[in-house]
Amino acid sequence: MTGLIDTLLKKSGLRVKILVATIGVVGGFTGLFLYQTLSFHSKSALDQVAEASQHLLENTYSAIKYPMSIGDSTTVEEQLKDIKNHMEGVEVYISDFQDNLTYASEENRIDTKVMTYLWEEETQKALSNVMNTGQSPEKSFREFRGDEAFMVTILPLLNESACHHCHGASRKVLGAMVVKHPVKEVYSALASARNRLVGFSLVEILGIILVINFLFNRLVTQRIHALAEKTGQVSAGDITVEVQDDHLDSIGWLSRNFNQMIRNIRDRMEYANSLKVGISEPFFMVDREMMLTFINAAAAKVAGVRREDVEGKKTCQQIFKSNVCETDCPIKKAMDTGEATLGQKVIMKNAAGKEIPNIVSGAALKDSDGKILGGFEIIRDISKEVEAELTLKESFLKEEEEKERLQKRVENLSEILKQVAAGDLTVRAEGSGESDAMDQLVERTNETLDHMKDLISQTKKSALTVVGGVRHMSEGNQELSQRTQQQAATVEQTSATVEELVSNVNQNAANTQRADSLSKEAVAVAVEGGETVARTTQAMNDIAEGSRKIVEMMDLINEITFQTNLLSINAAVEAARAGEQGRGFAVVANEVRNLANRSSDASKDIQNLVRNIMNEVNTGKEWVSELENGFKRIIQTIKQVSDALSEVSLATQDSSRGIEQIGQGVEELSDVTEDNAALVDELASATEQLNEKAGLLQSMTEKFILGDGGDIEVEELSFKKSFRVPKMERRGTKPPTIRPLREDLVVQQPMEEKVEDSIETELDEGFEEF
Amino acid sequence: MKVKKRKNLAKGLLCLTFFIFVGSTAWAQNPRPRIYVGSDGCMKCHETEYENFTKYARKSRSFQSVQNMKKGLTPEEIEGCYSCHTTGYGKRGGFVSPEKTPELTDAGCEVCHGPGGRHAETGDPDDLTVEVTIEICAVCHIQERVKAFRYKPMVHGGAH
Repeated sequence: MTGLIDTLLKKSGLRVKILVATIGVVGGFTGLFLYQTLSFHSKSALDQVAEASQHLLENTYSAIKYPMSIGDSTTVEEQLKDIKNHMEGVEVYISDFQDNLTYASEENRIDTKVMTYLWEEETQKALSNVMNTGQSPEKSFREFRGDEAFMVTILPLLNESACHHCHGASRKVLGAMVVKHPVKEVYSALASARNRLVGFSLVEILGIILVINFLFNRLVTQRIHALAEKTGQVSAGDITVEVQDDHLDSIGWLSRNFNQMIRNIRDRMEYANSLKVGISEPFFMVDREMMLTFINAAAAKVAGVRREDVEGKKTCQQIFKSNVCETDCPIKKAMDTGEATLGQKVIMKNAAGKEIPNIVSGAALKDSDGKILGGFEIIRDISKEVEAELTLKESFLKEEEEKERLQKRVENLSEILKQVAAGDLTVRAEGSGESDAMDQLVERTNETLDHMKDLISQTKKSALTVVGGVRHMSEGNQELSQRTQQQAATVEQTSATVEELVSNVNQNAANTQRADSLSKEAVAVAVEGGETVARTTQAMNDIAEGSRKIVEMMDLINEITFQTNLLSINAAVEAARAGEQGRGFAVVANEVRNLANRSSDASKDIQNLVRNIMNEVNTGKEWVSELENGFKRIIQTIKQVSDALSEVSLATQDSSRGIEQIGQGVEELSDVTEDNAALVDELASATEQLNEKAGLLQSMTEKFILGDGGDIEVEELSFKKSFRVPKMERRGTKPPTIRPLREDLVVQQPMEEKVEDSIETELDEGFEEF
Repeated sequence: MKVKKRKNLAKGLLCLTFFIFVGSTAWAQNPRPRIYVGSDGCMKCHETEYENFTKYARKSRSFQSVQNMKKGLTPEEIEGCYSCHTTGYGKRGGFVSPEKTPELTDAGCEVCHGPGGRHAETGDPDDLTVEVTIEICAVCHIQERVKAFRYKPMVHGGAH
């Protein structure tokens, strides 16, 4: 079966395959969709009918339950009649436990068996089960007979407590209630819907198939056919074909790629032909039987034949007659091994019988599968090369002789230069007298040696002069350094003195300010003393006033005493007048008078004392007044002292600022001196380097032997190494010290003494290395 | 006081026993009289009441219900029905079976007014329970049945 399908698939066209596939897929999916839709539709409709039937059953049961519970059979019967009248086709049965119908919407069926009206075995079994168990089947049953179709729903009638009065309590199930709901119309509607849906689906499938077939034919089949036709032409050898398809889909791309592929093939073939035709060297191609398939003009010329006479008619051996045709043919070798044979020397005979030396290269021609279709050979005539080779050999021998001679002359010159390199400038080379380039080289070398000899002689003299100059510079530099050092020491001393002066002035300013402060305190103390004296004066005045009041009071006392004395006298007179009765009173009066006298005396004494005191107080007041004047003078004097001290303090501050400016000047001077010292140091360093270079120049020129009095006696010069001036320390960072900058240099021999030593002496002592 | 009441009660019982003894001896000596006569026995004198009763009172047809429902009931359950669906079942001279006592098959006049045999003979109203009370009804019309069967006591409605 599978084989048959495969055969059919292979034999049938693409359009048929797609058509069959489209019919299968569309039909399959549509059928599946149709089946799902119909089954869902049918199930949904029947579920609705079953639900309606269930509702009808429940409603009917609810309607008859109460009349039945009170034994009202008439109402039950009327209910069922109503159902029959209002619900066409609906049948309601109420049976007892023995299947006998007690009530029925069809009255003539009462007292018959309910099973008679149930057609399907499943429904009957369900009813029996309900009777036996009292369990509701929880679903509806479909019944069919002829055109009739019903949905049957069964409800058990259980023996509830309300039923026991009439039915007793011994039975669990009293019977069942059965509702038959006609569903013929539902099925008719379903069938109608199904038929319509199937019809529409068939039309849809047909339409889809036709459209797909049309589109496929237009968009695929026709284009593929066109492409297949063109590829057939290509396979037949026609590579001039081209497919016209400007669509941007896959087939369009396939067509364009096909066109491009054909163009590439044409290009490659043209390329191969161009190569074949463009090779200027003798070139020919053969097939597997070594029959010539192509020979270019150059090869035909070498062989002395015409192309049209040999192509496809003769083998290569027949026209080239090579010495290797039988034994070591490069094309055969290449066809056998698949490898190219390169640069094989052969000797061919042309049509005239002349032997021609050649170098040939052969290779195999293969198709895309690697199958060898034939071979080709490129021939290069090397007759001229062979002749040139002989000429070249002779030239080579001549060149060798010339080379040896030249080498000998170069070696001579090299020997001369070796001696020159050793410093001997007296040697000279000799020419061969041939006036060639070598002789010119010898002559130029000799001239160079003469110039070098003069140059070095001059250099020796100049070096001596330079050494002398450097020595003078070094000496001057050393003096400058020493003077700079002294200047630095002096500046440092000045700086230290200025600093000390600044310190003293500051101390004076501080003392002056302190004295000013003390004088101000003294003024305050004196003012306080003046105030105390003023208060003392006031106190003295108060004492004088008090004394004056005491005197006044004492006058009053004296007056009282006088009056008392008078009274006592009067009393004594009166006592005396009284006689004996007044004696006691006279004693009292006498005592009073004594007291008055004593009081008078005492008051007089007090008055005297007070007057004395008043006199003393007046004296004291005068003294205090003098004291106050004295304090005022003291305050005035001290204020004058304080003003004078303030002026001194201001003057001291001015002095301090002046001295600070002096200090800054000294510091700037110190900086300049330091810069000078650094400059001197650098100068010493430069002089030292110059000295070294001059010495080096001298030693270098010494190596050369000049002869003819050119060697002069050179004095070796030596210089003391210059010293460096130390950096000056900044004022303020360290207390200034008055000491030499470098003691070791100070104790050194003075420069003047060294200068007096002659150069010769130093040279005699030998060259001093720095 | 209590002792005195007890003595009176004892005397009463003694007298009752005596009368029962005497009565029973007298009944035993006479031929067996009819105790329940059935509703048809009342019809001769109380025709109007009888017609009203049979027309309006469903109890006058109550035995039919037993007949309708007896299928599927046990004998014990059927006998249970007789107590209220017949006249005088279980009482002396009352319903025994439909075959033996067909005139007592329904709940007739004597269910409420008591056995009418003597009244039928004497015509004395005192031989009957003329004034029926609700307690007499409640023997059958218990609360449960009243609820189920829409019972309206005829004693209030004046059924006849």
